[in-house]
Amino acid sequence: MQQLQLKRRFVNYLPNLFSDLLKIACVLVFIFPFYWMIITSFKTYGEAIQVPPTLWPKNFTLEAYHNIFSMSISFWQYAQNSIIVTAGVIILQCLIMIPAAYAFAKRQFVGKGIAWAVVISALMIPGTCTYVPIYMVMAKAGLIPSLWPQIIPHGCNVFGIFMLRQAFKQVPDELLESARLDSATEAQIVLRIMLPMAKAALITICLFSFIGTWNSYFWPLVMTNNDKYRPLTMYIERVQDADVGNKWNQVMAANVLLVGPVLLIYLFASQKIIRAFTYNGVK
Amino acid sequence: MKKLVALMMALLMVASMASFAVADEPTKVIFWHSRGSGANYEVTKEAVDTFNATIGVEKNIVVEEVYIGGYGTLQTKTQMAKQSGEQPTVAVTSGVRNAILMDDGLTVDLAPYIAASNWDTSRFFDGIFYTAGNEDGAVYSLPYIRSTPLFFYNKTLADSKGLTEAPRTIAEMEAFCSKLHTVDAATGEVLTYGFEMTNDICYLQGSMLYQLGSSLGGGGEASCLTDGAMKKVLSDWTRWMDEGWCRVPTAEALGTSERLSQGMLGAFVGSCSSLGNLVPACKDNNIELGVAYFPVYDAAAPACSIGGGCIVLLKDNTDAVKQAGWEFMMYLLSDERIAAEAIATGYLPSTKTVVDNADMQAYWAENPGFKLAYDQLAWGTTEESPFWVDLTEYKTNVQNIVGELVTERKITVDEAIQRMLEDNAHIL
Repeated sequence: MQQLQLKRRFVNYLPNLFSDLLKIACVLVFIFPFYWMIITSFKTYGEAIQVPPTLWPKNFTLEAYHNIFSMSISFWQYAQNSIIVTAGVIILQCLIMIPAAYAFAKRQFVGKGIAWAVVISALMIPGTCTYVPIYMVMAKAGLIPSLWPQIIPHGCNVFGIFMLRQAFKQVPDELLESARLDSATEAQIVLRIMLPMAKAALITICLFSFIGTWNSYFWPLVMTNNDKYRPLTMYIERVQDADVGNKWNQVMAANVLLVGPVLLIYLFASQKIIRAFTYNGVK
Repeated sequence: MKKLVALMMALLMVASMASFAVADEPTKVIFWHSRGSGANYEVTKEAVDTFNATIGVEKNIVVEEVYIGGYGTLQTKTQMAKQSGEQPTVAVTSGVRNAILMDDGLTVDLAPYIAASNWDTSRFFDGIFYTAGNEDGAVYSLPYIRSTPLFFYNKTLADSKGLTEAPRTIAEMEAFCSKLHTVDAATGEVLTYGFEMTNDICYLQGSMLYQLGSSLGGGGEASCLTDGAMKKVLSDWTRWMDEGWCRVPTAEALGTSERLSQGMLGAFVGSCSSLGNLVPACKDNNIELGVAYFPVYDAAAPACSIGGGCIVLLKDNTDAVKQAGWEFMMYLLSDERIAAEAIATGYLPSTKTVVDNADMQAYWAENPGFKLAYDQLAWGTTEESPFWVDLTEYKTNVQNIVGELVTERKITVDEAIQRMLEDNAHIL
């Protein structure tokens, strides 16, 4: 009887088998580079370049991390810059993006269509075209020896304005009208009605901004001329000593330190995104 | 009235104190360099710290070192800095880039500084000193971190095959490396390739061109393409690969140094700066590392390329800052400093006089491989002279075509040379 039940369950499951195997294969493909990065960071240099490679450190060591933290280059200085720049960009984006998206979604004003077209057209300008002009502007403003060139140019997130506008448009006008009848100010409407209802979009935009800014390499490379203002991505570039060959264990250890916060935040935020997407606020 | 006089006196006092403070302010020298981490950065930082604590205190100068990136990034940033008014005082540069910066009007002719300080430039090897821009009495760059290519081999494997003497000529190298080549008799699988040479047209193949009395290109002429030298070098190289004992160079995470230390490669030619990592990596794997001169076509006429970086003084600075930058440059290029740099990093001491330095002598006694690289400076040449503004484009074109020839094996040697002539016709 039990065997029959097992057989029946297996037959029922059979159509899902291929799909599940495919999912597992996909997960392995995506997870393996992270696994490789982490285990290589715990290997000696010799084992890190060994052929055939080892899938688990033979001599588990913290040597690479020790070397990184004992360098004359301050890891914490770079980490601090990454945190300030990332937080600064997200705060500035929210300050600009939320009122802009609200205005474009729910307010009527002269030239709204043209203003929207101008905002959207910014999406079509390749970022690389802006590097030199923005560098020149920042240099003329005397801001190169500061963190501002990494924050100010990213303050206006056009894609974010677009996404948030779409989310705000989903909110029924009746909710806003009833709030106004209850004497709510525009700021209160945005903070207490619009944002909670567009939480999913806002969190997603902030998460993308966080990942983009945290992992940004080329922009700070152009905009900084001093270690005092450089982020962690440039620290990794420094750890590589191309003249004498890459110390792969140290490069991977530095990568673990760079990617760790992104993974942690993603793990927490991904749950919130799912929860936020399932919440629509309208019964 | 009294109040007015008091106010004026107070203002005068403040102004005099401010001027005193300004006069006391140390002259700041910004040093942009390419030495990001490891021994290279540590030794740079130590140099700056020592300067600041000694000459800096004495002459009221403070040097701030800033890592910028590789030579290409350094050049671009220095050019951009001119536009933005953020120029450093002293910067590391390399090869033809010295001349590009000179051509852009960014760098200072150091000849007057050298004369005023009575500074002896004859200490430097001619092959290093007379680089792009340093012509007709002008001195736009000074040799800083330099290197020459060496022949590295697995001595443990060589000894086991009865190869007791390292090759000196290319003919000897062919015999030596083909014997190092090891194949599994049962499966036919290659266990150890006898030799590998990466596609580094300016440095490695460029050295071979010099040995044949030619050069990759200088002054807008690419004689090697028409005098048979390039054909000889590429024909030899492709023949070695066809014979099987020479590995086809491919872009992989593991470089030639790593492959040799893993026992996958019998020998290779590469920069002496590889020694820093190669020595401990081979020791870790119980491989004795053999080091020899870069093999030459004719032992009586040795030649090789000299690679590495120079330092330049940037124009957009006040006279006082430029003078302070010059003080720092002289310090960096003192024999004591040059010896310390070489011992710490594997780069070459660029002066003839460093042979008298006791630390250097002791180090060479313990590490004879480094001495070999230094000896080669006597017959080495920097490839970027005479200055030719299109040299970078020409080199890139040639290197790409060589890649098609040796890696992809899509074209013949003759076709490759024809393509080099055609693709560079507009700049030759």
